[in-house]
Amino acid sequence: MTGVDDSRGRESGSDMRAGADRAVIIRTVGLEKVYGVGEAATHALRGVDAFVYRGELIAVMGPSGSGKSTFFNMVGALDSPSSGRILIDEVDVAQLSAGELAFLRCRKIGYIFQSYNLIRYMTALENVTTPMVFAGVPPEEARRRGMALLNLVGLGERWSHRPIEMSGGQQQRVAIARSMSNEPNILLADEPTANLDLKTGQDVLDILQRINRERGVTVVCSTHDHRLLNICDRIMWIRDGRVARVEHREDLRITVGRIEGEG
Amino acid sequence: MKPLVARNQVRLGPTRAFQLAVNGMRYRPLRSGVTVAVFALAVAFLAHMTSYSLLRHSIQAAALTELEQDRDLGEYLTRFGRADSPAAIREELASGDAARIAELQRFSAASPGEIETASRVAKTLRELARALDRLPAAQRAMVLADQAATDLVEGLDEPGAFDSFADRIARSGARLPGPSVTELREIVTHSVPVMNAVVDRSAAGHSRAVDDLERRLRGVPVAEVAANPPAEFAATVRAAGFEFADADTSRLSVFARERNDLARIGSLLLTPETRARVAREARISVGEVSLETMVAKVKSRRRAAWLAGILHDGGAPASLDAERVRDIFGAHRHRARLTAAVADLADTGGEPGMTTRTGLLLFLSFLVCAVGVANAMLMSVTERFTEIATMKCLGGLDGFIMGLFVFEAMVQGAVGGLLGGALGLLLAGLRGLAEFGPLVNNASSSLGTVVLSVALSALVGIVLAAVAAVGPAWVAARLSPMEAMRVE
Repeated sequence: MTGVDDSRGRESGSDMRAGADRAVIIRTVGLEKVYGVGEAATHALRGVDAFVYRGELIAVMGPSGSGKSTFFNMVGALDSPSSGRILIDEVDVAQLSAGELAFLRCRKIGYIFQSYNLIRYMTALENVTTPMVFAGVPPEEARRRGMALLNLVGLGERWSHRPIEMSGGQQQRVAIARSMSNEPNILLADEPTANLDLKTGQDVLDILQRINRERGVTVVCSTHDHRLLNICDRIMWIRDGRVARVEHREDLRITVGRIEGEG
Repeated sequence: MKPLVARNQVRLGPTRAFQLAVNGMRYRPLRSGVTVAVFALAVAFLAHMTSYSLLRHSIQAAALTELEQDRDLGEYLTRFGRADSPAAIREELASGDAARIAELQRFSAASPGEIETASRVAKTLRELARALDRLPAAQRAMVLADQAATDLVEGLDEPGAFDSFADRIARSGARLPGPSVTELREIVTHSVPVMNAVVDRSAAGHSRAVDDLERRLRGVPVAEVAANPPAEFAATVRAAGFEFADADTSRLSVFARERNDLARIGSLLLTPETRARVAREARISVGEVSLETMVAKVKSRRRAAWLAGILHDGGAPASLDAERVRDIFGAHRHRARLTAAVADLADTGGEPGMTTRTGLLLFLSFLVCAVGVANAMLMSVTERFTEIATMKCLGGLDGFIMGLFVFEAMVQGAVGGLLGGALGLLLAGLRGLAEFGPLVNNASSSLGTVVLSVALSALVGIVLAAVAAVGPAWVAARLSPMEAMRVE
C-alpha cells in the first residue's frame, strides 16, 4: 500500500522513531466535512491526515469549534465524510454495508459521549447489556459479563438503578462499561469529562487509563481537560479543521510553557 | 483482531422483541399511556361507527320482519271477511307470492298454464306501468295523455286502445324497457284476456269462499272466531277454500284478540259517560281522551288497574282486566316503536343496510382514526430519535431498530384497539338504547357480528399502528447516528 507509506511520510518528524514498528489501527486520509451548502457551507474539517497506533491512548485537543467532535464522529463511523477516507484496520469504512457498519460499531468500537446517552428507561445493567443483545450474546452470559463490567467501573452495587437515579459521574461510568461490553479494540471518548466535576472527572480518566493499560484497548479521547495530558501517549492538536501538530507526551514535558501559552 | 463478519449481527426475534417492547412501555408509562389512549379513542370511534350501524341494521331488519308478520296476519283477517278487488288480485298475481297464487288458482279453478300466464302478464303490465311513470316528463305527458299509468295499462285491451297507445309511443319517441311494442300487442291480444278471466273468476271464487266461511262460522264475525279459535279453525278456513296453515292459528289468535280488545277499548272510550269519567279522573280535557293518549299514559300497573276499572263499569268483559290492558298497551307501544325504528328506511328505498351516508361516515371515521393513530406513532418515534441514534451507535441493525419500534407500536395498537373496541361497543349500545329503547334486545341475535366488528376494529388498530410506525421508524433507522442525534 503505497498510499499508507506516503501518508506516514508526511507526518511530523517526531513520529518517525516509534511509527515504523507499531501497527496503525485508525488512519484518515484527506478527511473533509462540509455542513450546509453554498454561502452557508461550514467547513468543519479541511483535510485531516492522521493515524492512531494500536494500543495507545491518544488525546485530541483543540478549541471549541475546531472540528474535534466532527473528527470523532467520522472516525467512529457515526457520520460520513464529505470527502477523504477512514481506514480502520486498513478497511475503508465507506466501503462497508449497513450490516458491516453495525458490526463495526457493535464489536470493534466503543463509544463514550459527553452527554452519556444512556437509554432512560433501562437499568444500568440493561444499558450495559444492550450492545450484547445486538451481538447475540445469550441473556445469562450477558448478565454475567455486564455485572463484571459494572464492577470494573465500581458500580456493581447499583446495577438496578436507572440513569435518572445516578449522578453524572456514575452515568458516565455506566456508559464506559457499556462501551466495553463487546470487548472492542477501540474506545472513542468525546469529551467524557466535560460535564463532570474535578473528582468524578478524575475517576473517569483513571478508568480510561486502566482500560488502556490493562486491556490494551486503543483509546481516542477528545478533551479540554489538561489532566488527560498526564496519561496519554500522544496529543493531536486540531485547529480550524486541520491537524495543527502531533506531539508525544515525553516531548510535551519540555515544551510545557508553550502549551500553556496556547491554552 | 476479530474478523469483520456481519452475518453474526443479531436480528430481532419475536420473544426478544416482545420483552423489549413491554420493557419500553413499562418504563415510559405516561408516554405509552397517551399513545394507547389515542389508539383507544381512534378505534373507539371506528368501532362505535361500525357496531352502531350493524346494531341499527339488525334492529331495523328485525322490526321489518315483525311488522311484516303483523301485516300478513292483518291481511288474513281482511281476506277472510271480504273478497279482494280485481286490482288487488292483479297485484297478488304480479307479486309472485306462491301461497297467494295457489289460493287464487283454487278460487278461479284455473289450469296451471292459465295461472302461470296470468301471473306473467300481471308482472309484465306492472313493469310497463312503472316504466311509463319513469319516462321523461314531456314523453310521459304525450304517452299517458292525462291518464294514470296503471289505468292506461289496464285499459289497453279495450277496442282501439292499443293502436292509439302504440301511435303515441311512436310519436313521442319514448323507449321502453322490456317487451317491444309488437310483443306487447301480442300479449294484450292473447294473454290479457286470459289474465282477466282468471282475475274475474278469482274474485268470484273469493267471494264464494267468504260466504262459505261465514256460513261455516254460523254468522259470527271471523275476527271474533279467530280471537278464540276452536280446534278445527284452520281446517274450517281451508274447507272454505282459503290457504291457511295450522301453525298460523295461534299467532292469528293472539293478533286478533289484541286487535279486538284494542277496538273494544277504543269504542268504550267513545261512549260519553266513560269519556267524561276518564277525563275527570285523569284531569285532562274530554277532547283529549282517546286510545292513543291512554296508550301513552297508562304504563304502570296502578294506572292499568284504574283504566280497567272504568272500562269494566262501562261494560267491558271481565277478561279485559288490568293485566290485559297493560299487556296490549305494551304491545301497541312496541308496534309504534317498530314503526318508528323503520321510519327512516323510507328515505333510503325501504331496505335496511348500508346506505351511502353510513358508508361515507364510516370512511370519514376511518380517516380520522388513521390520522390520529399515524400522528401518535409519529410523535412516539420522533421523540425517541436520540434513543434510536444511541442504539445505532451500539451496533443495532436498521431492521432490528425498526422491528423494535413497529412491534412496540403493534402492542400499543392491540391494547388500545381492544380498549377502544370495547368502549366503542358500549357507546354504540348506549346510543342504540337511546334511539330504539327496548328494541335493542332484538339485536342480541347479531351480537356475534357486533363483537366481530369490534375485534376487526382492534385488528385495524394493530395494522394501522404498524403501518403508521413503519414510516417514521424507517426514516429514523436509516439516518446516520449523528444526524439522528442532531434532529432534536
